[in-house]
Amino acid sequence: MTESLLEVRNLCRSFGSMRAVDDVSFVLERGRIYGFIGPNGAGKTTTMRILATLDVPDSGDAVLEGLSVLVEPRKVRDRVGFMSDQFEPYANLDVLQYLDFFARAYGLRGRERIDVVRSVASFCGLDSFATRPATGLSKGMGQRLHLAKTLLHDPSLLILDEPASGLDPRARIEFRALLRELSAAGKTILISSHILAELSETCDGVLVIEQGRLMASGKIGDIARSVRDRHRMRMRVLGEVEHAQRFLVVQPQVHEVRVVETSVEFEFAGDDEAAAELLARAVAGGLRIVEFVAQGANLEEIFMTTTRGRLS
Amino acid sequence: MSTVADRSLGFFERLSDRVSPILVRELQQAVTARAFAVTLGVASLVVMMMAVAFTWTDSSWRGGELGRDALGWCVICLAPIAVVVVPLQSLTGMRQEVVGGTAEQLLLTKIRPSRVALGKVAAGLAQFTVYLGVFAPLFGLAYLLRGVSFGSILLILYFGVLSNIAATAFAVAMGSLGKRRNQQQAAQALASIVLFSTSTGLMGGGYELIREFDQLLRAPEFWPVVLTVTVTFVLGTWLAVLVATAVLSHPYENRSTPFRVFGVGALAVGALWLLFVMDSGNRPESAGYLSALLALLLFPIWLWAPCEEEALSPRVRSYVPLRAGLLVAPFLPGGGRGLLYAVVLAALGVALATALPFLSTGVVHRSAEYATAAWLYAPFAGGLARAIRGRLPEGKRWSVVTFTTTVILFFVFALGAQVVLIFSRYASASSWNVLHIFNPFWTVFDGGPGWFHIAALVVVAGLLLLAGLPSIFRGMREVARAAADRRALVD
Ligand SMILES: Nc1ncnc2c1ncn2[C@@H]1O[C@H](COP(=O)(O)OP(=O)(O)OP(=O)(O)O)[C@@H](O)[C@H]1O
Ligand SMILES: [Mg+2]
Repeated sequence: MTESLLEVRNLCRSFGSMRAVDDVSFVLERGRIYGFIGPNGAGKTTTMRILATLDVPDSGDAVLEGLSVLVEPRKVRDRVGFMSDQFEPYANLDVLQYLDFFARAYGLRGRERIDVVRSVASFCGLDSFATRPATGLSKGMGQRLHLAKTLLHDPSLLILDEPASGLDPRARIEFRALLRELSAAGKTILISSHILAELSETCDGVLVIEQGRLMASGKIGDIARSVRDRHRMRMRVLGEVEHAQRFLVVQPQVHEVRVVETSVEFEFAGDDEAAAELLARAVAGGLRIVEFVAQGANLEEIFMTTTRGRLS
Repeated sequence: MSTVADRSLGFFERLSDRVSPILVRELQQAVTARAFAVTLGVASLVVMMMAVAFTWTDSSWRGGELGRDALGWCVICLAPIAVVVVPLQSLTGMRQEVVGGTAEQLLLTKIRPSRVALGKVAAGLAQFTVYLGVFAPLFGLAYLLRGVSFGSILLILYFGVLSNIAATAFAVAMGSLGKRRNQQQAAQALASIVLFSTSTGLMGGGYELIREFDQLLRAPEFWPVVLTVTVTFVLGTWLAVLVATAVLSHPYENRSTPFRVFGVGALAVGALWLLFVMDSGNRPESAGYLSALLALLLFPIWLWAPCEEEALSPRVRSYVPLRAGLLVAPFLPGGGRGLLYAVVLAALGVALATALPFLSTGVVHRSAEYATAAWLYAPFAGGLARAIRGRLPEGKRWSVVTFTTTVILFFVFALGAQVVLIFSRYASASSWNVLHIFNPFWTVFDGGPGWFHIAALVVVAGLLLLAGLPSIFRGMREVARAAADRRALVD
């Protein structure tokens, strides 16, 4: 049983006649990673800014560990780390000076401050960049510095607005590893991104937003099932592929069977229970199965189905 | 290459345990910045050249007043540094932080917005002090060359520091202003114009200034003048820091009370000045003029208060003073309470012009009428603003609209009245008429307003206040309820 960390209730925020966030409610559980996805201008940044107490909603509220962002913004700030999509470090400071300044700003002093700065910097892989000018870092290193700054006060909720945009594949994979470590350390992470493949590998849950409205939320698998009642499965067998194909076409809940190289792909309308039975029957039927995977949890598909036709 | 692990506590790290981290960071930046090094180098070079020039000049030249010349050059060189170079750097820094999002990231930390603003002012002063150090040889030379006293050098340094603090605070406030790019540019342009013209004025009057300082040192009004200038600079700095703080603060934080307190504070400082700096002979007359001047200068504060949204933000409601009574309420945010505040401030202003001189000298000067008429515009314009605000939707934007509309309405009515009177057969356009009540300047200064002007103002302001009474009442009740809610929570 996981406890909830953040509860967002009927958040609304308009800019003039434009409803940037429209009646959004959701709950984030402790220690989980959540992906926040939606087309450009959907209201992700606006929602995150409200959660980080940098903007106020017209109505609704968000409660973090029992503290309302409207009533106790200062206490909420102690518990939230917000990494905005904008990062312009101070000129004429090196990486360590930059971190040291923010550590001091978070009220850390003396030896403790040095230790925290040191451990956060090494955690983010900034060790050998300590004396580089903060403004002269590559995009990837800059994002690490930005993340390091966000971690200094040991927040329980991390709100990351498109942290991986502009990073090369290696930097992205490394960044993802950092997020997993943070989550393992008990931090809740809300991360917005346009790179869906990346989110589907990291996130426990997703929130899909469009034109300010929350279109879907929950575990990726659950949403995928609710979005469409079938998901794609793939079975790789040793020996004759056609053998497996012949077996599958006559099975219940199995549709659109086709052979792709040495595997068979098909649409399956059953749940996990049914899938297990299907596998058992296949093995009993003499198929030598080496792979049996559901390709269902596809964020791109969720994204396209839940937001189709309403791109603003 | 130094790594994180072998890093020990450096000078700046240790320093920032004791003083404002903002100040330390600005210093760290300045030390590394090339621009600072270059200006410092140039300044040192200039000082050296001037020192050489002055030492080689025959001291009998210009009747032995060479020291004064040297000091004049100090003023000419330091004035632009004090009020242009350093403040504009702070302004650019502030603006970059606001635009680049760093200001917001700072707000997420434990540093309060007021500390951000004060830290920047302190950093500006620290920089200016370095420049003063560079100029120290020239000051010393000026003293040795004769023609200036030690006192006037100290006085120049003192006023230099004061103007640097005030100018930097002003620049920081202007740098924080503006959400949109064009607003920011407007603020920056305005600040540049003000700072540049101040600097030009100081540079042009450099020699004069030194002569006046010399005379001032020997004059009986030395302390009154120094005190008055100091108080004015302190009030200006205080206000500028309040503006920057308000801009940087969370929208639900209480950003009204500091300004409302400032209004009363300014009157209190005025009272102290009248009592302790002004001699009792001139006190009644100055009391009236000072009070009228304060009514004019504080106009943005007393007019803004009734323009605010009516309700308390959830944040402020949660920390309304437990025993919030009638005394505290006018200082809490909200337009209804703001109207009450305008009335309170006006009453205090009138008291400053009448009760204070009467109680301390037994005399009330005619100038008190100016003050009374001027202060009556607080409930008048405030009541009008509240009536307009009450018809507009929620949102700070509409408060700004109300403020501007009220000011424009006064202009329009004042002009309209003039036009009506020009075409009227019964009244003359050139003498005061009750329609001119929308023209504060004429009404207040119509050869000293008589009882008629004041009575007319009282009637209009009274009617508008009557219309605003429900709003005031709601404002008071909201505070009483919030306080009761909090007491219930505490018990
Ligand atoms: N300060 C503002 N003033 C006016 N409109 C705004 C403001 N901030 C955001 N908006 C509008 O609100 C809507 C939501 O913006 P938001 O930045 O939250 O979207 P987003 O989901 O973060 O988009 P992106 O993926 O492009 O970052 C947009 O239409 C945007 O134009
Ligand atoms: Mg965004």
